[in-house]
Amino acid sequence: MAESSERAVVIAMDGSEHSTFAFDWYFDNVHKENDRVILLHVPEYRTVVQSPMVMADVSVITDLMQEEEKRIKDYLELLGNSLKAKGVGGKVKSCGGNPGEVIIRVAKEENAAFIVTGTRGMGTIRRTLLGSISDYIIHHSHIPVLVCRHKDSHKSH
Amino acid sequence: MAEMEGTQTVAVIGMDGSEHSEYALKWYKENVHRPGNKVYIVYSPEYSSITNPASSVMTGNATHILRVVQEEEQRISALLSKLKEKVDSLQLEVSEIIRINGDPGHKIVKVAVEKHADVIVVGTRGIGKIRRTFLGSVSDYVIHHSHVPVLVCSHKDLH
Repeated sequence: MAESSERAVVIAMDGSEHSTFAFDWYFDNVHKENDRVILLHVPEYRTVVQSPMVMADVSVITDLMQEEEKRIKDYLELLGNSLKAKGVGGKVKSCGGNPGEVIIRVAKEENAAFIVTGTRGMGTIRRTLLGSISDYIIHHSHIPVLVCRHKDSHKSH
Repeated sequence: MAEMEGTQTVAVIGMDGSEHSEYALKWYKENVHRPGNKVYIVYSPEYSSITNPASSVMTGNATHILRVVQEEEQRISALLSKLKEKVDSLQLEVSEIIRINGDPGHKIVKVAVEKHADVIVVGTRGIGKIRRTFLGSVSDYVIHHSHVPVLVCSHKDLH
C-alpha cells in the first residue's frame, strides 16, 4: 500500500554548513524516492553592498560583482552536483529578493509539500537562537517546515 | 551511545489533544515516518476546569475539588483512549505515550533529550485559548531550545 505520489520539497540553501546539514538530514531521514527537490538559493550581494569601497572606482565594483556572480554560479553548480550525487530528482533554483519571502513564494509556486531549512545561515552575528530567515519561514509558512538544528550550533563561536 | 546495526530514528511528538497536534501526528506518519522508527508521544492534557479562574474550585470545598479533579481525570482518560484509537487508525507503532503535567515546551525537549530523539514534531498551535501570535508558545519554545531538527506542522486551513 505504498503511496508513491510525488512530493515537491523546497530546501533553502545559502552555502552555509547549516543548509548543507539540512539537505543531508532531509535526505537521510525524510526523503522518499519520488520526491522532487528544489534546492533554492537566494543570493545576497553581500560583498559589494557591505564593502567600504563602494565609493571607489566603478571598475572595482564591477570586478567585485563579477566575482560574486562567479561564486554564485559555482555554488549553484555544486548544488546541482549534490542532487546528482544523491540520485535525487529535482532542480536548482536561484531567485533574487528578500530570502524569507522568496522561499515562501517559491514553495507556493511549486506546490511544495514542505520546506526544509537550517537554523542559521552565513551571517556571523549570533544574537539569537534562530536566524532571521528561518524565523520568518516558520512564522509565514502555511505548510510544514522542517527546521534542522545542528547540535553543534549550540556551541559558542 | 551504542552503535547498533541500523540504528533507529527516534521521533518525539508533542501533542495536547488539539486538532493541530493531531494534524502533526498524521503528517509525521504520512510524510516522515519510516518503518522501524521509534515514536514517543508527549501528551499534555489541559486541566481546563481547574486552571480556569472562574471555576468554582475557588470555593475551597475539599469534596468539591476532589470531584472536579476526578471528573478531569475521567475526561483525560477519555482523551488518552481517543489518542490511542487515532494512533491505531494511522497504523503507527508508538513506543510510549508519556503524559505530562504542565510546562509542555520544557518537558517535550527534556523527553527528547532523555530518549535521544533525532527529531521533534509539533503543531503550530495547541489547545490554548490565547491567539496573540502566529505561532504558539510551546512550538516556539521547542524550536528555540531543541538540539535536534524540529518539524513544525503548519496547516493553512487550521489558522
